[in-house]
Amino acid sequence: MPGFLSFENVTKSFGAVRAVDDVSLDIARGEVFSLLGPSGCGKTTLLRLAAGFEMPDSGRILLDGHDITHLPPETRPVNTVFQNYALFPHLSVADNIAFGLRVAGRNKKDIAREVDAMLDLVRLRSEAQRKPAQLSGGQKQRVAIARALVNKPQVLLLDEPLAALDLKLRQHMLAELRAIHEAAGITFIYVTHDQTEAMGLSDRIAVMNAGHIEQLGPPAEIYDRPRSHFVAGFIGDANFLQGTISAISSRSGCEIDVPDFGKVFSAEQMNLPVGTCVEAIIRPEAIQLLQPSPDVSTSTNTCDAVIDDIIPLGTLTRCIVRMNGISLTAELPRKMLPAGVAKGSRVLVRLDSASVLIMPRNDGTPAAGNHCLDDDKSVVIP
Amino acid sequence: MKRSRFPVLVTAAVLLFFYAPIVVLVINSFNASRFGGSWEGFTLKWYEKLWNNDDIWSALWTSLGLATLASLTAMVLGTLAAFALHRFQSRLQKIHLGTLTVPLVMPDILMGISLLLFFVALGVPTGFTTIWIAHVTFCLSYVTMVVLGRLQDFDFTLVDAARDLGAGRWQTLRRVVLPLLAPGIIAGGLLAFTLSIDDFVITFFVQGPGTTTLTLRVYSMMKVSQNMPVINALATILLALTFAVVTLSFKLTRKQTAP
Amino acid sequence: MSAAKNIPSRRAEWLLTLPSLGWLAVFFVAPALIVFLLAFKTADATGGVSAGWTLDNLRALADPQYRPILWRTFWISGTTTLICLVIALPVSFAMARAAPRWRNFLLLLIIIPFWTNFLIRVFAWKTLLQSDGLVSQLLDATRLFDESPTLLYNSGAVLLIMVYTQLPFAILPLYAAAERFDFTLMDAARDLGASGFRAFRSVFIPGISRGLGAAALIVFVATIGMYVVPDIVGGTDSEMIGNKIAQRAQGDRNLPLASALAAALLFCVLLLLILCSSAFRRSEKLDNALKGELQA
Ligand SMILES: Nc1ncnc2c1ncn2[C@@H]1O[C@H](COP(=O)(O)OP(=O)(O)OP(=O)(O)O)[C@@H](O)[C@H]1O
Ligand SMILES: [Mg+2]
Repeated sequence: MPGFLSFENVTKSFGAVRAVDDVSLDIARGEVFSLLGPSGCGKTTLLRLAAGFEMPDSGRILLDGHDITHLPPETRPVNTVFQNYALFPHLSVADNIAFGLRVAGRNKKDIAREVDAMLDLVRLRSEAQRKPAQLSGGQKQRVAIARALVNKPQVLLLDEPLAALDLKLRQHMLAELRAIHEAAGITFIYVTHDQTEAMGLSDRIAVMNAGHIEQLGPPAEIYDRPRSHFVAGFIGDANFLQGTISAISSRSGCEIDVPDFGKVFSAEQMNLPVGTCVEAIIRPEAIQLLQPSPDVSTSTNTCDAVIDDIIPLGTLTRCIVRMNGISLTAELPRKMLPAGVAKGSRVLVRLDSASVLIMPRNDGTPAAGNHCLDDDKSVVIP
Repeated sequence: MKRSRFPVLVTAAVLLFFYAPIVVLVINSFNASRFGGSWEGFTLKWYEKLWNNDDIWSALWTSLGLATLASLTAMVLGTLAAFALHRFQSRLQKIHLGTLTVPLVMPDILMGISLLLFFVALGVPTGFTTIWIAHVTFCLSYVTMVVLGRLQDFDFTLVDAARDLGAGRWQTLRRVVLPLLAPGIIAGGLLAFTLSIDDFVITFFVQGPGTTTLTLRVYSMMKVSQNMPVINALATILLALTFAVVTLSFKLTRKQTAP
Repeated sequence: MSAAKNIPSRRAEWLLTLPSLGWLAVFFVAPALIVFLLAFKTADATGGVSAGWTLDNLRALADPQYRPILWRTFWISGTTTLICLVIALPVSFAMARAAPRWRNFLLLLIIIPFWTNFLIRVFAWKTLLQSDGLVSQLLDATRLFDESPTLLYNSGAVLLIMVYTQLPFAILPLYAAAERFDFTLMDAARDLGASGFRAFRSVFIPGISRGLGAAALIVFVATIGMYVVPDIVGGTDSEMIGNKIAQRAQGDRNLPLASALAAALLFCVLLLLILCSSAFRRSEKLDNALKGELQA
């Protein structure tokens, strides 16, 4: 499907740093598209390329089929909500919103009408004559959005627009953004390093790392089916277990041998030969803790363990469990905990085979025996 | 642990030392005594004499015209220079900054004599134009430093924001950059204006027949005619004006706060 | 590709730089060079410069007429600098320790005289010091002297008024340094048993040494080029090199000789600037090295 806004093999370097590295991306009309990734991975640079503040070293950027790669920012039908808002301090709220219309040479009556409409949309009518210095964080943020939206851009670029707000306000503004998107119906590209923001707002998410896109898809897919160690670790919490494929069943999945744990069965269909070094990824909520009992202890996906720590998180409780040399983090509702568990209790750990993901390690080079295992057999990214 | 009073006492003495001569001068401008040694009653006659002194009036107009021209020129050159220094970090800017810094510490007399020799060597007759050139030369560095200080607080994402909203280079400059920098540029211009009005030494060297500035006139009054009380009156008026300008530029250079 | 982007920005840099740099190259750097050049020229009868070359002007600097003046210039400037620093030190200390509201007010009080016309400030002193002026009347009233002393037209008057005019230039850089000084260090020294003066001398003064250097440089350079003060309140035995330059240039119009005198002065000033800036850079490097070591 040809996108509405497309990046074609776009690369941008600053000296030796490849901030954006051969990125190709299609964004559909009207969707909320999030760029998610750790600090310095190139999110802002990608946005600035779309806005026209940076020119790519190579590659093209297309908007609705037109090449806009070399257009200056003022001629692109794209507007930005800046991370620190970048409101003009010498202009009132109304004048800030009117800025784009004024430089476009629109007549006074039109400007007044559209500015009024925007003030209503972002509910700032009574603050219209204030200067940015007299506004709260959330109000500034709404002015920044109104100032961009009034130009009816085809794409709105938002660079961590909520980063400067406190948690409560952030949740509130997220809901407002969703409402504004529905009302305006334009394409949003939303940059953030906060995964809950991205999950809650987006139609699709691109997870970026070191200048390239690691994975692209709807939020649920990225969470449920991370395609790399990086994505699994970055989105949500994950336990990683190292092992080797010991058996494959073409219909139901595969079985891997995890030292110190035993056999782990995954429902995932993998086209990998027996003996491949793999990594099993288990979300904390996919781990069950049961009363130890002799009859289940031998089956696949279960293992005896000791509770190392219990951390109440509110509705969920986090338990760190240890078995032989590895430890896992589990999160489960309090009432799902076995009765009377405490630090040091023995429990039975069971992994939900439908939620065990498998991906090849070290490019999946098959190795004999357990060569691929290194010292740290389990990595927990909280 | 008791703090020594000594530094505070010295400070008080210094302030007395600074202001006593000025206060005596202001009082003497209202003193009927011709030599100011003793108080002989209040009078405004020195101000009246000043008012009727055509030489002083014409010198004042010359100085004002000169200061206006020189400070406007220095404002334009200094603003461009500050932008260059702020935007670019190159060898050229290192040389640029060095060339702008040395005039700040160069003694007036050297600037004056070197410009005089320069004009004589080129065969340029001295007069209004040469004074204007000299004044721009010594004001330029001050204006640049004031504007540069202001630029360092300037948020350049505002330029991106303006471009993003459809403003071209020129409109960005006119609607965003200049309005926000105006207080700094005007403060720099005011500084240049007062420096120009105040200068005596450099003007003394590059002056020419027919162009007498206020300080040149005051100097010749001090040296030649013993018309002291009139100078007192003039000095008092200049003091009042300087206070007004200092207060204004103090307000301008202070961080803008919302009204 | 990046080269293509650099070309317009390179041009923009030149467009922004050229007006001021060009102006200063023509009207500041070139005149300074001409000073050195004309020192080797001969004067003509009409007050201009004739074509021939000579070393006479440089020889004249060693002439008994000028040698004492060079010496006097240096000792008056040196003494002025010293007195200014000695007074400015406790003042900057007191200002930096004052409550913030007072601090700004004091700063304003120090700055205002600095904005007042130089000629007028010198003139104000002249009225005070003249033979029947306020100061001599006060002195007469004390009856300490049989005959009231002459207060004007001597080196003492020059020194006093030099200090008066230069003191703000010494206070401002010292205050800027003192404001950044960490005063808990003083308390630490007192805690370790140092007297107040001892702490001032061995903690505060080294702590603001760079401001001290800047203040000394500014005052010294301004005073060796001084012309107005000795001209208005000085006598023939308190003339400085600046007076001679002015006399040769605007009095009897011997420009090459004025040029030679100015060249000598300019040489001293440039030497001082170069020495100070290299000293400053060295101390900055030392600072950075120390910081690096602390971080390591
Ligand atoms: N103008 C520039 N000059 C030099 N390097 C730059 C420039 N802009 C970005 N970079 C570099 O490019 C890389 C990507 O930066 P970018 O700002 O796009 O990251 P980001 O993903 O937005 O990070 P953050 O979440 O911290 O905002 C970083 O290594 C950064 O140092
Ligand atoms: Mg960023």
